[in-house]
Amino acid sequence: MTPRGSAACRVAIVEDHALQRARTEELLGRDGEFEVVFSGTTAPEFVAWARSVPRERRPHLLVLDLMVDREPSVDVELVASLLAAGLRIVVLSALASPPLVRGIVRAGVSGIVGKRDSEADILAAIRAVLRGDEWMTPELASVIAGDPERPSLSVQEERALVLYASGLTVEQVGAAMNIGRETAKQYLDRVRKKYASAGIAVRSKLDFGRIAWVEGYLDPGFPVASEPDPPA
Amino acid sequence: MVVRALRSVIGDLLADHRVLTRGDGWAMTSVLRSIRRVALLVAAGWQFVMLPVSFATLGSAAWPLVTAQLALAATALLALRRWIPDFVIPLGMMAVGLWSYLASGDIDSALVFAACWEIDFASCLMGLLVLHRVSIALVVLPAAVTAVTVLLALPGWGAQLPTAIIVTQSSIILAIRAGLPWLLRLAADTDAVTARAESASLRTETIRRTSARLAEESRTLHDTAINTLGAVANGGAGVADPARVRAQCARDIELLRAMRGERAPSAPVRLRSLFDHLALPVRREGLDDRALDRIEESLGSERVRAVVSCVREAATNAAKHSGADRIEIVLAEDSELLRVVVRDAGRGFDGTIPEGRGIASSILARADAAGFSASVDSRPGAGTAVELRVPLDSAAEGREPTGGAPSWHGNDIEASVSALHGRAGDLWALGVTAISVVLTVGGGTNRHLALLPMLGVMLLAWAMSRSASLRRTPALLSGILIACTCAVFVLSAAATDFGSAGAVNWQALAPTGAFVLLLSLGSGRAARILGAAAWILTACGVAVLAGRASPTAAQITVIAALVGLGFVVVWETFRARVERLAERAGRARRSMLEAELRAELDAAAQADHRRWTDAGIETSMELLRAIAEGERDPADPELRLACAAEERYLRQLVQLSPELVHLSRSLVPAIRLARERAVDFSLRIGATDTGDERAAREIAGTVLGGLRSAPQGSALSVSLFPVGEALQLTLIGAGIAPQRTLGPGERHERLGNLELLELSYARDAVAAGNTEES
Repeated sequence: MTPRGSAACRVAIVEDHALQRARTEELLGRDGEFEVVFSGTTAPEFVAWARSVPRERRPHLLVLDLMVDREPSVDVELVASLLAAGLRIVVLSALASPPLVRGIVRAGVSGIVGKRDSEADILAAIRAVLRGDEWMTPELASVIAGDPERPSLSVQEERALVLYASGLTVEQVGAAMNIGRETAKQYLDRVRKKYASAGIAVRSKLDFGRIAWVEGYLDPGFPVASEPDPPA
Repeated sequence: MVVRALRSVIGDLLADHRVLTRGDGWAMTSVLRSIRRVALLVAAGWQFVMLPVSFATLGSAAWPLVTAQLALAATALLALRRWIPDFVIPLGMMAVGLWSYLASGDIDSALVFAACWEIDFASCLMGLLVLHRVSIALVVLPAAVTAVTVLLALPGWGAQLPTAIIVTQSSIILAIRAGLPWLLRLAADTDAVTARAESASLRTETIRRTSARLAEESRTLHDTAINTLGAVANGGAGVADPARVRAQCARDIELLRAMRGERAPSAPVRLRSLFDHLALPVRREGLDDRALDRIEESLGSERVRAVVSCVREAATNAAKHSGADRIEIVLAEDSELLRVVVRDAGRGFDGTIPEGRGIASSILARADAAGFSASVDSRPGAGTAVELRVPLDSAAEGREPTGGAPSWHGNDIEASVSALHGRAGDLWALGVTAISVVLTVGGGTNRHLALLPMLGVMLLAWAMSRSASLRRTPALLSGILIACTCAVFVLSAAATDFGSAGAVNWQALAPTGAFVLLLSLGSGRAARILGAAAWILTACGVAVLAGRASPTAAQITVIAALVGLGFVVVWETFRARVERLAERAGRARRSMLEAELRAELDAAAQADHRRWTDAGIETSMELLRAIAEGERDPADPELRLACAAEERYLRQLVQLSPELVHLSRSLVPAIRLARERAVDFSLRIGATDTGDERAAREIAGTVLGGLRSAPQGSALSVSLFPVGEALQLTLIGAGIAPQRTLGPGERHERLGNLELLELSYARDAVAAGNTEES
């Protein structure tokens, strides 16, 4: 919770494991690219804090561990309302229960990275999400592939998804399907879009009224990070 | 089709209905017990109607007959306690009926009318109490004897009554034998359905609870070991402060220990296990395992444990001291007692219990402490018998849900009972109408042709009771049924000129059709009382009217009303009794199910315990301990590698969601093998289980094969995702070979230095993620 240079992108961390939190704080604060404005153990704690600070101190992005508390971890509705209010969210998780992760992805969180992913991958995901890009990681792909109720996909899209989620790189997916890397990537993009739009119905049902505290939350002039790495 | 229906009816008539009653479900038990009890009470009760009628007709000459009636009533009550075989009662009633005929000699007397019903009831009882087809002979032969006796001894009565006796009694026994299987099958079906539903719910409930607990364990594991091992493996800032790392590890170990402690296995002792681990060969007699399982529920675990220990001790004593080469264990169940006798044919002793033989302390004291009695009987040279007498019912009191025990309810028995009554009432109304038709057509007394409108009213009552719109206005329907009851009574009376002409043909049961419908439709108490009052008033009115002609006619009217009202009382008693029994049976069943649930949960918990132990959480705990106690430095690269391997291992273990019933069991060995062989194993599975255990084993076999052929240190990636209607297994790694021929849509190809194998399996219809998960 140490304020750094004001030019950096403001980031909050919610993580209940002390060692993991220390590591994430260090990783994000390392190059001055991000300013860690909050680092705490639970989502409600974060919400209370955000309510208490002036709008210009609120973060642009939240790095969230899904298994905060041993209570019903993170409330999908809360995540959805935070997203609706303009907060970007990256889920950083060693693992979580598949239904919860699916709920979170359907609510609109597209940045999902594993705690054991490389530091470069974690930073790249955060940058992509800040930029407004969706970030297809093998982690996210396996969440979609494991969802028995995912929207119907074409045979090619489905195979690309399953192979990518099974651990092949985009190039290898292309090679296995006798298509180019770009085509493979297009399939994956389409899958992600279909899945996200299937979630819109879910999202629109949620009651956003009670999160008036973050209205106008998104700072239109927030700095966009430089060109991130392409996905995997 | 007609032939087949006829054949099935004839089959029912001649079958041994005891076959239908083999089940021990609550419905069958309730029905059988109620039938028996009510039948015997009616037998006793009707004798008390016969008493005054005998005096009224015979005066003081009635004494021998009355004595016989009293003796019969007493015998019926004794038969209730099973001290006398059931079939004796209806035979006795037939004899009393015939005696009454002979004693009276006047076909128009009230005694003969009452005796007719005594014989009718006797035939009914025979049909209800004797389920074997011999009941037909037991009714028809005495009826023939009665008919012939009347023909010979009372020639003035003509042939009409003797013929009617044979025809009526044969019809009654055949009708009951045709109708009873329907009720018994209904009870058996209800039991079967209940049992199926219960076993299904039981399974679901077990799985749900196990899942919830395992999910909680996964969370604990995640919050502790996985995160900490991951942080150590990642290195850097997370582990920059060694004191903090040590504190974290110490806390994790405590949590993991607590989690494992909660799952301490508790093996319940089974009553059937009293035959296990005995020191001598056993000859077993009496109750089978199923009976033991049933009894076990009414004993409670403490008493079961004590019984099993006592039996083992007795067997051990026999082995040590008796010199016999075998023992005999006899198990028997009285109404409220389990008797266990352990007997040997060895040398025995003189009856004073020898010191140090374990009998005093191990058997007698243990039995005493557990609340049952034990006795030892022995004579020199005649062997030794240890007998345990364990009360069955009082144990139930102590077995009410205790704190923390799972409470759970089976299916709604009350609703089934009410449906059963509805159908029985419907059947009775139709049956009694059919009998009236037969009696009318058969030339029963039909003055003023009153039987024809009577049949019309009976049919009307039945039709009205089935009208859906009338059922929505119960008050109106009740009113109609009460009116029908009274109308039928008046018309049946009119057909015998109010008891003064051919009274023996009075169809006294005809009004019960409409009234039973009133009862079985679940009308309110007020409607029932009102209905009974209306009927009684009508009967009084008719009796007064008949009394003007002759006092005998008035008596006959009263008896006719008593037959009908008595039947209704019996019906209502039967209904209330079945309901009470069903409720009690339901309670017993629920407590049994809760016990079973507990047992299954215990079993599941044990399996999980093995699962986690198999998986070897110890390694992780050992790593955490070494760090916590400062034995190893978190920055040590070797330690970090070890932590990385353990973290991955635990992460995959936890990923095997407990809701994936088949997969989670089968795949644990795979992640274990991966760790042993130091294969960089990545496992991703979705929320869909395999359709069955076999598919899960086959998948595990393929994965294990892939792991065995993977070079040490190489990577193997496995995923299992739903694709279309199937579950697709994808393996990516070096040296993977399919273990079966590939089907359509399945692939095995080479990608540079990697191999890719895609296989398809049947998936479970229900996805695990669709059940609740918090």
